[in-house]
Amino acid sequence: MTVVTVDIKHTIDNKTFDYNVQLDKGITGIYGSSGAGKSTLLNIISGLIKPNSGRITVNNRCLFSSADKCWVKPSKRGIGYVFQDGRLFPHMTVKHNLIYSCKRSYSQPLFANIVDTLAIQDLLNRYPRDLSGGERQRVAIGRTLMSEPDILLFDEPFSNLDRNIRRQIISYLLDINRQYNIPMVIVSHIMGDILRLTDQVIFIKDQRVSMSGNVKTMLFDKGSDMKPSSMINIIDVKFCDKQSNKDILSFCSEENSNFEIKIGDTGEYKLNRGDSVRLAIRPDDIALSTSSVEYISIQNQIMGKVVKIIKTEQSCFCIVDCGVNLIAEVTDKALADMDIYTDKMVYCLVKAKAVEVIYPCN
Amino acid sequence: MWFTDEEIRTIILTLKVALISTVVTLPISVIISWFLARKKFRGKIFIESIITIPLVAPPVVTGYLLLLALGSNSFIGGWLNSTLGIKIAFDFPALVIASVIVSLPLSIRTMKTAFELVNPEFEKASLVLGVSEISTFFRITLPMALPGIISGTVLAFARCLGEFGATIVFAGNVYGKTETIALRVYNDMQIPGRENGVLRLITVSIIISVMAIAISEYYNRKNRYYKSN
Repeated sequence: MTVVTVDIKHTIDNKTFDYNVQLDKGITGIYGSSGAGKSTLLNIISGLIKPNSGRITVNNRCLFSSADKCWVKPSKRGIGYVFQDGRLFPHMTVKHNLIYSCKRSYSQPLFANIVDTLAIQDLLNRYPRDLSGGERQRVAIGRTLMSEPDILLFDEPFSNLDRNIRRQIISYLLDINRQYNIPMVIVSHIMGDILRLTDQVIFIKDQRVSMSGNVKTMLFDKGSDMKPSSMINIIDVKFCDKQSNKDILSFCSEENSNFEIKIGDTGEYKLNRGDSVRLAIRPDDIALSTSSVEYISIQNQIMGKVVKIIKTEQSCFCIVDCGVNLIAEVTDKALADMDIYTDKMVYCLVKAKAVEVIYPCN
Repeated sequence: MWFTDEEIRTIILTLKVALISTVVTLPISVIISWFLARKKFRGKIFIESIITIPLVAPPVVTGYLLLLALGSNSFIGGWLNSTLGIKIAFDFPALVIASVIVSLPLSIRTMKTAFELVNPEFEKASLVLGVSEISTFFRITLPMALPGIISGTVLAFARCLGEFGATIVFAGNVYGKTETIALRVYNDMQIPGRENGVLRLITVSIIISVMAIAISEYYNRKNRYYKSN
C-alpha cells in the first residue's frame, strides 16, 4: 500500500533533483553515495526544502502541489524526522526533549512505552552533552515518536556510531516498526545497514532515482546498478531448537521451513521456541563445495542450486537457492576449478559463528 | 564616602535613565538582531551600516542629528510640542532617546552574534516535531541565544550609564533635570573644590561598569559553551 508519493523537480546550485518515488508501508531504505541527493529527498518530503515543481502526498493528503498551489508547513505535516546527529536541544534535559512536541500535557502511557522500548529510563534527567552517541540517537528517536508522526524519516541514523551501537539501533528500529507500525524511511550509504532493516530499497544516483524495489529481485535484473559486493544475506528465521547441543542453536526460515541454519551461542539473550530473529551473513563468509564434506568443524552445509553467477572485477558472486537465496562470494579461480555453473547443485558452507543475529529489543 | 543629596539625585537619575533605556533597547535589539542574523535580503549591509553609525560616529554628531530630527524647531519635535505638549529635547525623554540610540548598535551586534551562533538545524528539528515558527523562536532560538542577549543588554545598560556626547547636545546639562553622572562629573571637574564629589561619582561609575562587564563576560562564555555543545 503506497503511503507517500513524491514526484518533484528542484534545482539548487545548478543541480537538478528529479524524484519520482512511491513509499509503501513498512521500512524503505534509501541508498546512494555521498552527495547523491538522499538527504535532499528527505528534506523535500519533510518540507524543509520547498521544491520548484511537482507534487507530494502522504496518505492521499496533499503536502505540496505546484499545480494546485498547495503547501503544508513542516510543522503541520505530521512527519517525524530523525537527523544524523540527533539534534537534541542542548538546553533541555532528555525528558524535556522527549515531551518537547507535546502541547501542555502528554500521553503518559505513550511516554512510558517509548522510554521502555528505547531503554532510556536512566537518562531522563541528563542533558544531551552527558550522553553517548548511541544514547543521543535513541533519545532523538523517542522524541520523534512522541510527536506521533504518520511517517518516520531517518537521515543516516548510524553514522558516527560504532558497529555494536549500530546493531543496537537497528534492533530498536525493527522493534519500533513492529510496535508502532509507522512507515519508516531510512537513508544510509551503507547497504549492509539498510539490508539489516529491509529489502525494499530505493537507489539514488546523480540526484534521481536509478532503481527501486526488492534488492534480491534487482540482483536478477539485467542492467541493474545493484552491486552484489554491497549485498549481505538477510534471513528472517524462527528459533526451532532442533539441536540438542546447548552451544549451537537451530533456526528455520520464516519464508521456507525446509531451510534450517545453526548459529552459535546467543549469549545472555534467551530465546523461546518460535521466537523470530533476523540473521545476517556476509557473502564472503559463505564457502561453496560441490559435495558434502565429512569431518569438518563448519556447522552448516546447506544444499542448493546455483541460480545466477555475477562476475565483477574483484570476484564472483553465486546466488544459490537453498530454500532461500544465499549469495556466496568466491574467486574466479575457485569457480573454474570447481566447474560451477548455473543450475549446478552445491553446498553452502557457513560457520555458525559467522552468522550475525539481530535480536529484537524486547 | 558620604554622598551629598545632589549626588544621590544624580546617581538615581542616571540609573533611572539607564534602566528605562535598556528596557526600550531590549525588544528592539532582539527583533532587529534576529532579523539580521536569520534573514537574507537586499541592502542588508546598508541597513547594518546605518545601525552601526552611532557606534562609530562622534557622539556629538549623533546628538546633533537627534536635535535636528526631534528638537522643538524640527517637524516631529514641533508637532509633538504643539499638539500633545510633549517636549523632547533638553528634557528627560531626550536623555532616554540619546541613550537608546547610542546603545542600540552595541546590543544589536552582540545579540546578532548570539543568534548566529544558534545552529538553525535545531530550529528545523523543532519545526518537524510539529512546533510552530513562533513557538520555536521562544522555546529554542531565544533560550539558546539568551546568554548573548543578556550580555548585549548589560552592555547597553553600561553604555547608557556612561553616555555623554549625544546627551549633552540633545538633552543639555539642565541642573536637576538632565544632569547624569557623566554630565555632573564634566561640570564639577571645572569647579575648584569639587574634586571629592567628582571622585565619589567616578568610583560609583567604575563599580557599576565593572559589574556590568563582568556579568556580560560571564554570559558571553555561556554562549560559547552552547555553541560548543
